Formats: sequence, structure tokens, C-alpha cells
Amino acid sequence: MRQSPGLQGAGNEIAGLKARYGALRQAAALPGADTGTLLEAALAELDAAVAALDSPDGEAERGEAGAGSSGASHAERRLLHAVFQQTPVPLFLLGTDGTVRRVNAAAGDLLGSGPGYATGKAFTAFIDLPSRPSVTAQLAAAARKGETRQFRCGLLTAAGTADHELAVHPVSTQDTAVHLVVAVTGPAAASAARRGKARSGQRAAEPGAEVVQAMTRRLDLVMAATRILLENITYSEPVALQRYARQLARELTAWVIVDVEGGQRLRRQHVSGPEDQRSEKLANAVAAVDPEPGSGPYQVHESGSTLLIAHAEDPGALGNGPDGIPLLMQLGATSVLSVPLSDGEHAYGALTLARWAGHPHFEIADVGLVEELGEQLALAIRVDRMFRHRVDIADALQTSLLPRQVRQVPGTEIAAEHVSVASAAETGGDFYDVYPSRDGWGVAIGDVCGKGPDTAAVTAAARHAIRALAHLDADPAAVLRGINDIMLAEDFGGRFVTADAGHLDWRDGRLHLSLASAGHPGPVLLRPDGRTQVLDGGGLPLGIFPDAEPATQDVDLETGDLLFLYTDGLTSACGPDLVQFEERLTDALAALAGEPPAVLVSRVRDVVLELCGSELRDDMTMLALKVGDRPS
Amino acid sequence: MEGIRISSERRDGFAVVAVSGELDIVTSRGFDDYLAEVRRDADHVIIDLSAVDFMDTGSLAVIVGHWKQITAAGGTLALAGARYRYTKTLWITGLADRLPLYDSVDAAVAAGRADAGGTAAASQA
Repeated sequence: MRQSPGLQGAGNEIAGLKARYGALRQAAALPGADTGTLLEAALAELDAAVAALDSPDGEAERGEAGAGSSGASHAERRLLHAVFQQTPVPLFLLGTDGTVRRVNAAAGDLLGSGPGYATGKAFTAFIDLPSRPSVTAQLAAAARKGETRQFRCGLLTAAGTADHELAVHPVSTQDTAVHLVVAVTGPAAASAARRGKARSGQRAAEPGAEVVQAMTRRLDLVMAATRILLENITYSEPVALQRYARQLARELTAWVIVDVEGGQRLRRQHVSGPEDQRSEKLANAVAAVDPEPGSGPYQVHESGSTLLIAHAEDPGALGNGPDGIPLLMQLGATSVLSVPLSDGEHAYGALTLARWAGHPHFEIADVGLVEELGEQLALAIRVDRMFRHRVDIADALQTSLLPRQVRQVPGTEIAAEHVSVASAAETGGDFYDVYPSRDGWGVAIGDVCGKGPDTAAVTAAARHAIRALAHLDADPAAVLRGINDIMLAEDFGGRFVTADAGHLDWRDGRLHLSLASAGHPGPVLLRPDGRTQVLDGGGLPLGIFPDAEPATQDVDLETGDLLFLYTDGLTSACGPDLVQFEERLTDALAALAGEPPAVLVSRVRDVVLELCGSELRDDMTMLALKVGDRPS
Repeated sequence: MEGIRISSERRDGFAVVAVSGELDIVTSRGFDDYLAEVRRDADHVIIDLSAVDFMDTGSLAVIVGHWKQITAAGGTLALAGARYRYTKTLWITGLADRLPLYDSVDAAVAAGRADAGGTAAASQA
């Protein structure tokens, strides 16, 4: 055919139509697409196309008769258009590449969506997975051989997956490329079309009841999911995630995949699916492989935007799973909804749902619900991490209050031992310290008594205050009086501090101990020959009475003497006969006379733990200072 | 709560709280809550410790806390029947010399009434 100027005009028109059609197709694929508006626009384009075909130039190319017959052919075209649209058999018009160009009303009802929805999608997106390869082959064969092909396959319809008889036949005109017409001809076809219509009719009649029911179900699901998080989250993040994912998998009938960021990558934290043995094995295999960079969950996590693939065409949407097989295929999933796990400030990862064939595909309406669930999960992760962070801080503080290595006073050997009765978050009352004091050295042991959320902080404050005051004043009684004043200036409820503080300095070859006690048990002095002397203790606890005076005692320590300080967790430990260790302390120490301090505290700890079966009543702390030779 | 039983009754204008069992790191919280409840309706409290087998410094801190608050508000809190062997911490801390301690609930009640009577007499003079 010779090219005429008219043909060029028609060609431009067609190019324009193609471009606009392409834009409409993209718009239809976005989440939140307004199908009503898109349909209007598509119909307008169709009119434009019909007008272009009816134009004098177009007719001239088609070798039509003159202008007089244009009216008649226009009417015939409209008639054929109507025939296509209204035939009570679902019809699909495909390109040879398998893309849907047009569907009629019966086909739209069968799929459960408007006729414009399928336009631009691969036809095989509406075929169930096992049948796809054979359908693709049938379409190709029909196009190639120019013959009708008939076959059965599973169609993903509004009513679920059902087997249908299909027939495909190539059509072409002189001026257009080959197209394929697919008709759903099987016994199920007509009733499916009717059923589709009936359902949409019903929907129009009772929108209220269905909507309320759907909303109630969603509310129940959200509440049940929240309860799981609140009950579990402080125990263990993985356990909470697991239970959450299982609940969602059950309620939403989908594979649930939770990917969480760790070390600059997304790690596959959990996968839940149908509750049968095969699926559980598959879930474990899938969970063992981290998501592939560039796959759906990565996109969602990085962009912070939801990904909705109502009908998955590209099996690579979720990347490859174990063994390099596309994950979507392994899961048998045809519909995907992936939302960011974000609390608005931090992006923790992605929550992905994948539904398998035979179940309603994900729609815009599902996006809101699943985004909400993703937000909740993100909040729970944030709370759990804050809680664990607090516990870590408490642990670190506790360790600083009870250091394994203490400063050594020249001419002595010092060792300490501590056993906690509960978690770091709950206690933190005991402390000990060895520090340089004015004109000598200081040693202190103490106990913050009473419960409070800031116990560890109060303990640290007391310990450091003792150090600071001892730096200025050698007299331990003055130091404790200072602590008393400091504590009285604040309100600690009923809490108070008991403490022994000692000042040590070498005088005439002996280590002189000046001891001050504030309501704390007196230390035990263990001589090398096994004799013990329980020092007085006394005084009143710090932080209660403004006029509290520490009790004081002075002792000279000889080489080989060992000073043993402790808190009441040691003495209150009791055995099955309910006799407290307090009554055995001096005997136990006597039996360890001559031992180095590290050995002594370790043995005492073992004896006590054995006595009470490792069930202490309170934190146990001890400090042993053994006097050596005077340093030169 | 395991390990402890607490009960209370009114006697001559006093709320008498009787504790039986062990006051330790676990039970002292419940003890704290119980005292707070009792104090809502009573300004004069006597804690009967005669059946207590064990008391640690934490539960002593609970008592000190309530004692500070109740006396600041013009009320009284007394301890009765504490046995040295089982509540040694009262003595080790020296608080046995500062908190009102009586051998029995009767003694505490009598002393409390005597104080009240004295105050009345003083205001009449």
C-alpha cells in the first residue's frame, strides 16, 4: 500500500492514542487508583479511536467507499463494539505478547472487577500458577499456526479459582497486528458470568451489613494482634514477632513474612504460613534465607511506601528464595501486600503478606488495615528495644558499683565478691569502694534499703559522695554525717542507707583502722590464728534523722589480720533448718584463717549458696582486706 | 501472697495491723500496699510483729516510709511485739531506739491512750 499524507495523519493519531493508553495503564496500576475516573478516561480514548477509524483519511486507506457510506460504517462499528461488550460470554482481546487489550463486560464480572482493570495486564496473571506455562504455550501456538486452540485451565475469578474451558483464536485485519480472542466457553462460564452479576447486584442491595461485618472482623483482628504484642514484647522480641505473625497468617489467610533491619541489611526474621507440616517446613526454609536486595521488602523498607501487587505477574517480585527459586513461586502466591514496619520515626523493616491462588486477592481496602498492623508491630519493636536498653544500662551501672577489681591499698591485699538475688532492673542497692582518702586510704561498704525505680542511681550517688567527702576529710564519721545531710536534702520515701566507712593509715608499723558505722553490721576481724572479733557497728542509717550520729571504733591491724566487711544478704541467708548464716559466720571465717582474701571470699560465697540452696533472700556482698607488711 | 499473712482490726481508735510470716524482698511490696490502704481511714496505727519470723532492711524501709508520713501529718505509728531473734535488723540498724517499740499490742494501745489523754489534759490546763 502506498503511503499517503492521510495515513501519516492517522499514524500520528494512533501514536498519540498509544501514548495516552500507556499512561492510563500505569495510572491503573498504582495503589489508590480511582477506577471510576480511569474508566471514563479509557472510554473517552475508545471514542477517540473509533472517531479516528471513522475519519475520511482512515476510510480512504481502507479502500472504503466515499463519504456517503461513512455514516453507515460508523453505525456498524458501533454495533460491533456493542456486540463485543455485551456478548454474554466472557471475551478477552489480547495482543500476541499475551497482554490484555480489552475485555468485555462478562469477562469483567467473571474477574470480579471493572472491565478496565485487566487492560494492560498479562492475561496469565489471571490464570492459576500451575496452568500458566501451558496457557502461554497455547496462546503462542494459536498465534503462530493461525488456528483455534481449546483447553482447560484454572482461572482466578471473583468466586475463587475454578476450572474453565477456554478457546483462543487469532484475528487480524489488513491494517492491524494479529490479536487473539479468548472466549471462556466451558460449562462453568455462563453461570460464573451470571453469578458475577448476581453478586454485584447483591452487593448493591446490602452494603451496610457487609461493611459492618467486615469492619468488626478487622477490629477484632487488630485487637487480638495488639494483645499478643503487649503480652509478649518485654519477654522476647523474637517470640512476640513469631506469635504476631502466626496470628496474622491465620486471620488473613496469607503467608506472613517479617523482615527486620540489622547491621545495614534486612534479615528475614520470621515466616508464617498455613498450619500443615509441608508449609511449616517451607516456612522454615524460607526464613533461613535473608531477603534479596532489590526485592519487594527492600523497596518497601527503603522507600517507606506500601507495595500492593493485587495480581502478581512477575514471579520475581519477592526476589529469590532458597535454592534460587523465585519466592512467589515457592509460596504459590499470586497476590502480595508489603508494608513498611515504621513508627513514623524509625524504619525497622517490612511486613509482607502473600496470598496464594484460590483466595481473594489483596485490594486497596486491605492496605489500610495491614499498614496499621505494620505500625503496631514497629511500635512494639521500639518499646522492646527501649526496655532492653534500660536493662543494659542498669547492668552497666550495677557492674560499676561492685567492681571485681578494687584499688589496692599499699601493704594490703583486697578481694570482693557479689551475688545478686534478682534481675539488675530490680535491685542495685549494695555497694563497696576502696579509695584514696586524705592522709591515707578509705574503704566502705553499704546498702541502699527499700525499693524504688532509681535505686541504682541512689546507690551510685552514695558511693561517689563518700569518695568525694573522704577526699576532703579523713574522719569517716564526718564523711557519713555529710552523706546523711545530702540524703536528707532529698526525699527518698522511706529509703535509707546503712554503711560502714573506714579510714586506714599506717602508724608505727601497724595499719590503723578508724571505723564509722551507720546502722550497718560491724565488720569481722579475723586473726591469723583463727580468733575472730566482731566489731561494734551501731549508729543510725543515713537519710532518716537529721541528728543521727555514726558509731565509731578504732582498731590497730597487724600483719596477717583480715578485715571482713559484708551486707545483710550474707547473714540473712538461711538453710532448711531456718538457722541464718549469721550464726555460722565467725566459724566459717575461722576455718579460713590464713587464706588469701580472694580464696576466702570465694569459699564463703560457696558455703552460703550451698546452705540456702542458692536461694538468697537479698543481694550478698563482701569485701576482705588482708594486711601485709608495711610498704617501705 | 506466699510466706505472709496480714490482717487488721480496729481497737480503741487504733488500726492494729497483724503480720504473720516473713517480711522479705518479695512480700514487702504487698505489705507496703496494705499499710497504704489502712492509712486511708486511720491516723493511729500499731503494727503487731509478734508473729513475724523474718524481717529484712527493705521491709524496715517500708515501715520507716509510712512512719515518716504518718507522723508528719500528726498521726502515730508504733511497732509491737517484735522479737529480737526474728527481727534483728531493727536492732542492728539502731532503729529500735528511735521508732516507738512496745512489747505487746496492749502496751502500745495503753501508751497511745496515755499520750492522747496527756495532750487533752495539757490543753485543758
